[in-house]
Amino acid sequence: MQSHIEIDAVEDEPTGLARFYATARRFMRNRSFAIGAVLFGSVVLVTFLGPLLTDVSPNALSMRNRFQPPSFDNLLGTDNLGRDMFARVIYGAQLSLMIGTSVVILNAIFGVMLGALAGFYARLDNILMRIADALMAFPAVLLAIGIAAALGPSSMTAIIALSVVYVPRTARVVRSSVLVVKELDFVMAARASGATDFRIIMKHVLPNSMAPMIVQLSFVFAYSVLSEAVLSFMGLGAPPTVPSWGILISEGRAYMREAAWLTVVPGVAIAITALGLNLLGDGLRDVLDPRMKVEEG
Amino acid sequence: MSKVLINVANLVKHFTLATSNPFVRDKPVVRAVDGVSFTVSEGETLGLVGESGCGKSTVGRLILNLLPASSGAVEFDGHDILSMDSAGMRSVRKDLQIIFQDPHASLNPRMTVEEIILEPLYAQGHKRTPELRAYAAELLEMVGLPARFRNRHPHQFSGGQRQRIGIARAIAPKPKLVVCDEAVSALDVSVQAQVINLMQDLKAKMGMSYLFIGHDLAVVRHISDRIAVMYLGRIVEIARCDDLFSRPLHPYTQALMAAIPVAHPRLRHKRDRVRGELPSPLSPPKGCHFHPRCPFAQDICRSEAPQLRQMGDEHQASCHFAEDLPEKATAAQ
Repeated sequence: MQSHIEIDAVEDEPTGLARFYATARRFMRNRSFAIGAVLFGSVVLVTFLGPLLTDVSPNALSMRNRFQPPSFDNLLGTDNLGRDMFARVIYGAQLSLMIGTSVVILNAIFGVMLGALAGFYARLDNILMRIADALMAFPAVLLAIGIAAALGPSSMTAIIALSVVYVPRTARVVRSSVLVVKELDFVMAARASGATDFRIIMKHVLPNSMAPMIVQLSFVFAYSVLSEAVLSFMGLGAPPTVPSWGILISEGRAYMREAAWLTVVPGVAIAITALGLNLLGDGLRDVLDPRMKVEEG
Repeated sequence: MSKVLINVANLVKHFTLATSNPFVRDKPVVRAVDGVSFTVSEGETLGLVGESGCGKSTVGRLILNLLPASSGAVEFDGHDILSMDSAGMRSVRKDLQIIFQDPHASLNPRMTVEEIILEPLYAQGHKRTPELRAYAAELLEMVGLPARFRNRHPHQFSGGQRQRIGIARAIAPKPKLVVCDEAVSALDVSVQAQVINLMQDLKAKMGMSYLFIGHDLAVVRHISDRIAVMYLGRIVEIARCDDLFSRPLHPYTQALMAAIPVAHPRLRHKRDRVRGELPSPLSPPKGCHFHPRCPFAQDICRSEAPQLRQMGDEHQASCHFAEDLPEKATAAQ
């Protein structure tokens, strides 16, 4: 325990706006979280403000302006049909982020639920984990391609396929930390007080299994954006009229030698999103740990 | 004598070990608790002592129904604990609480102190009301912590303070019996004394009973009314505290007492230490479990297991030679 002066200093919890600022300051002090927040925040901002940033339609053809390198007229150049790459990347972000978010939400629901059940109930563990083993035996992208091919190309298909691929992985991660946490004394204390299994899982086990969960979910988001690009690239994602980042790379690859910006620009967009999210996830894990609070004093 | 609160009769817990060898038909069985019987009366503190591995913590877990017992009966306040369904058990649990040994593992690090203390009440279906929050503050003051600490997290406290929080949580539902599972063993000696005194004050204030599990006879003696000595899954002697110390009737009890350090160089008596190691509970010795380490062992000890016999007012011991033992022990010295 530190000195008593310090303890009395942080006595009453601040309320309202002051509390919000204090929390925000604590979050931004974590470098990983700060960089990740800036990177991912700007991606989200550009995605939603996209239509305001450019008045060019992403699908407007201009045969005279084919393969223009980046310039003031076309910030990121034009493609083989003279379409503005800046507009196309911005509009493509919407689809990519939508798919990533959907997959993460499905993972947070089903992956965490199944993982918690498998970790908490030894009887369910064997069944659930053997199913997970079966699904994980396939290489991730191959399984996603298989499912997407069976269901037919659409963005919904991509979401379902990617969820099937990543839910067992998330469940695995959650299960392993649930297995550790459920043996701790405070879980036994809760049971001794008459808490129901549901309460024990929600209040005691899952909150203490959060660190690997957050990192895993930020991983899943980044991988979904990447894998959606792969599915789209293979023609199994969204129909090509809607440009997603994967489709942009797929279309540009034929002209990689002559017009590298067609593949590099959406590629960099994917890289920034994935990097931002991973940093954000790492930072979030540290910041949400109540033990970290003590360091600011 | 006051009313019996909990009556434990012939409690048995066997753990079957998993073996990787599929040809072994008889899987090894650990007899962690092997026929333990005792009672705790209202307002009484029963100490339960023994070496580590003798099954004393398992007894605590069994009477709370946190582990399923292999056989035996536990009657608590008119309820047959071992045969209750989970819903019925849940309602009994508010009267039956536990304090753990490790104050670092027993508090949920994600919860504030207030949430931790009130968790037993929330688990019983109480809603978070201002009255309940005021009660949490009151509980904190009762265990000697300022009420303004209630929004802190456990990592901001020292070991002794955390144990006080664990005590506050245990007494929050106003239980009738608290199982203290090595409740002070993890603390510094100076802090141990404070926590023990706190527990005695609380007992006087709230009129509850303790089952105080420990391995340190000096500490257990300080808080207990009666003491039960356990060895390898069985109770070998049970008596009132002063009676046990003035007239120990089992050689194991005598050996334990001889091992209490004396804080005076000249008064240090010839240590009659227990020889050897605790035998494996996988294959306990035949007859009296203690005979390989007993200085007075005879042939009968190797073949026949002694029963707990009444040796006087509220004094039971399980030794074939309990009557002669005090003389033998003095002769040996």
